[in-house]
Amino acid sequence: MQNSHIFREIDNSMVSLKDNVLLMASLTRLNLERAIHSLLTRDVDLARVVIGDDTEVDELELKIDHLGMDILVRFHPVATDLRLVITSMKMACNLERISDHAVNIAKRAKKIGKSTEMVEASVIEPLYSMAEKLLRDALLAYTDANSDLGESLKSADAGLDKAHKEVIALLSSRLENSDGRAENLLHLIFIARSLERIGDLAVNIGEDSVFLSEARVIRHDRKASGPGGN
Amino acid sequence: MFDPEKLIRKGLPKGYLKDIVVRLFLGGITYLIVVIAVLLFAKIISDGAPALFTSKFPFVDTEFLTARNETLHVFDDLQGTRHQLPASRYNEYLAAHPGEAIYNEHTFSYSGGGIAGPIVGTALLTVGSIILALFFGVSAAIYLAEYAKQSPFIHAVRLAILNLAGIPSIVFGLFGFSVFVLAVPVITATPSDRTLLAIPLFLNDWVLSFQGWNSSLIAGCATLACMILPVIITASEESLRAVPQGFRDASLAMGGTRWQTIRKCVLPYSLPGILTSSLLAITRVAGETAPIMFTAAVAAKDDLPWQGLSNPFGILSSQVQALPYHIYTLAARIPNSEYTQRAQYGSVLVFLILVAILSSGSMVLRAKMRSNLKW
Amino acid sequence: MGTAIQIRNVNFAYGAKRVLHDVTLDIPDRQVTAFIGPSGCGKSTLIRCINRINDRIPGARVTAGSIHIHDIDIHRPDLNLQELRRRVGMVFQKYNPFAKSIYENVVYGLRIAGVKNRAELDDAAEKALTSAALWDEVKDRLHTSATGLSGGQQQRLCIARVIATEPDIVLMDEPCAALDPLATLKIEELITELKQKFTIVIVTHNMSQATRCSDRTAFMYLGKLIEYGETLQIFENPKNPQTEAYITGAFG
Repeated sequence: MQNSHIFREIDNSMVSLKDNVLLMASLTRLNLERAIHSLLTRDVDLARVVIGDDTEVDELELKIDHLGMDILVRFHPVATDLRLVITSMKMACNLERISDHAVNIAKRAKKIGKSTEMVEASVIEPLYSMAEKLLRDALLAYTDANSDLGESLKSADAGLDKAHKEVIALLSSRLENSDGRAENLLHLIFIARSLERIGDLAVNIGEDSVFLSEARVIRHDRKASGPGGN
Repeated sequence: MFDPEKLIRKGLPKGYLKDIVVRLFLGGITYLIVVIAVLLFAKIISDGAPALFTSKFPFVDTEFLTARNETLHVFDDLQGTRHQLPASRYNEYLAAHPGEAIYNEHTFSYSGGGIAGPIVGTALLTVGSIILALFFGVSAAIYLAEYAKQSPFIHAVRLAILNLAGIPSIVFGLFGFSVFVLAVPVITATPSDRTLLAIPLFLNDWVLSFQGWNSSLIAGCATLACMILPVIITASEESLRAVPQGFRDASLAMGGTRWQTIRKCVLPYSLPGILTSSLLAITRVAGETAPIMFTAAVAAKDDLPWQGLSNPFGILSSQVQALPYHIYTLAARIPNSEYTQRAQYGSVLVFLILVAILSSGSMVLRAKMRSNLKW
Repeated sequence: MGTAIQIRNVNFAYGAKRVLHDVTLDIPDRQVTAFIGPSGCGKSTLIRCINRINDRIPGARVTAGSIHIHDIDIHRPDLNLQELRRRVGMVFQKYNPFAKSIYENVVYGLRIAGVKNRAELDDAAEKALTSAALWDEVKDRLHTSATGLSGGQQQRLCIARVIATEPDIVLMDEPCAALDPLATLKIEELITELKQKFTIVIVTHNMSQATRCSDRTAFMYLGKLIEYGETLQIFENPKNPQTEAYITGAFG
């Protein structure tokens, strides 16, 4: 995919774009990890760090958009180059939303951390590992142009959705006799929801990777369709 | 919707017969011209071959080409054998057979010996006139093509040069006579009586005397040069213009001066064209009679031009024989007989071969130079 | 980065026909400035004023305004024209190497400047050909005819020829117009490298060329300068509606 161009500026710009996306991705993953960690260890300071670091992620999103725009104007890329630019810009958007979800988790973790201990917090952990795995695989699919991996994410996400439903059911059942912990239970429910959304966003990233490597659109339940539909 | 059936032709194509008739007509004329040319050459070759070619090695009568022109003596000796001897061998014969009787002696001027004199004279005239014409012609061409601004005056100059090409050669001869033979300046210590103007130079008693160069090689060369000047100028200007403008632009854009640009980027590439034109001019000059009749040529000359001179430049002031003039002399100025015919036809054939060699030389040279240049 | 060329209120005419109207702009040093615009807008005329190669066209003259190169007015009567043209090189649209050897082509500028030392010429030739990304391809056939090279190579040879005299400014009048896309990209790559040493002004009717390799772009129309600025700004968000109309292809 990365064939070098006669006009080397194109190479430099593409590499820069991809590097920025990967940087943003690693920051996002770190934010998410820290957010969950702050929930599980009730570390309020860590939660604050996550909220602060989101600014960096937002700036990266702007930078990637700007870089992509510049590449489009300067070089009029086609084929793989064009798909890389478009996919990178979309990924930046998805990653920014994931980071926003991480911030939400951190905010709620902060609130829980300041109040009573919640034993139910542990049910979040398996959800998180599934979501984290989805995210990791999606990013791998992008980096390695691995379309099989990208396609497999949807079915993995089904598992996350199912687990999410079970967690919601469990937490909702505890709401009835919560004696003062209702607010925290609601926080946990929202955290679970964020993780489910992160899974969906990871699936989007996976679908974009398939588009990047094979020019195939598999969004919205379209299977094996090339550009322009069936 | 057109009918595709109409695409299929029925019968002969339209205008078919007319086409054939026209083709035959034009082709016939073309081949007729070829036939005429072939007949012309064939007649000349068949008439001249007995004079020029011999049956023994080297198959060419070298004596004809290298001996000087002499009067032919035809006589019968005591036994009735007919002898044809050029003057020098006639004198030898007389010395070898003293006192013997000679019967039926006839002399034929210019018909004996060979044509070395005319060949040499033509060569000198040609070389001299080409050198002069190239110098003046190429200089003028460079000026017209590279330096002169396009204005009505320059158009008039070009028109004047082209008009030179249309002037009859006899007029050139008279012009050369009145100007180069009688009127051009000469630096001499002893001005002649008929000088038009004598300006003393205050150096060694030398005087700038407008008395002309007399009938001489230099006068003939100058006259012939005037004649071929328009051809050389026009062809040189064409070849200069044919050099791509991009060469000049590139050279100027790198800081070259006008003359540097012309010398290095234009002139070398226009040489093939200039040389071609000069070779064509050679063939023309070699064949002209009228311009040299009054200015350089003489019918009889004992020495070759470089013999019997007081100084090396004397060759320029000596008169010469010339091949076309020699042919004219043989054909028109002496009575015709079988003895003169050998000399006449032989001279014509030699002349033709000379011109053919020069022409093919020009074609070969041009092709060779052209193939070296690609742009 | 200073200013290499200052163009102030330049008006130019071919005889009675006015071709440039009050053009004013500064061309920065060691950057690539591109001129774009439809045919006949005066962009070629303008850059040909910079090395005064229009002088050889009768009736062509700057009727008003001035052009300064590093603060020297190039129309001053005591200007050394040959030196100007050595300092401001030009590459033409139709590549025109002389019908001589590659070596002779490259050292031509030095020869006419009076350099005779063979070693000096050899060095300069190698340096120029290397800078033009041509050395490896021709080093074994320096003395063969230049016309045996491909079109892209011939144009790079013309560029080598110009930079052999180490000019400050290189003017390029649609250098890739006669080349195929691959050769074009090679030349653009070359331009991007050359701008470290030379100020480059390039006229192009291929807008992608301007976007790819120029730092600043000037849009001209009917002899007037319409807009001039950073290339990315001009193409992402032009300020003048005429510029937008041209670059989006709303008119030709």
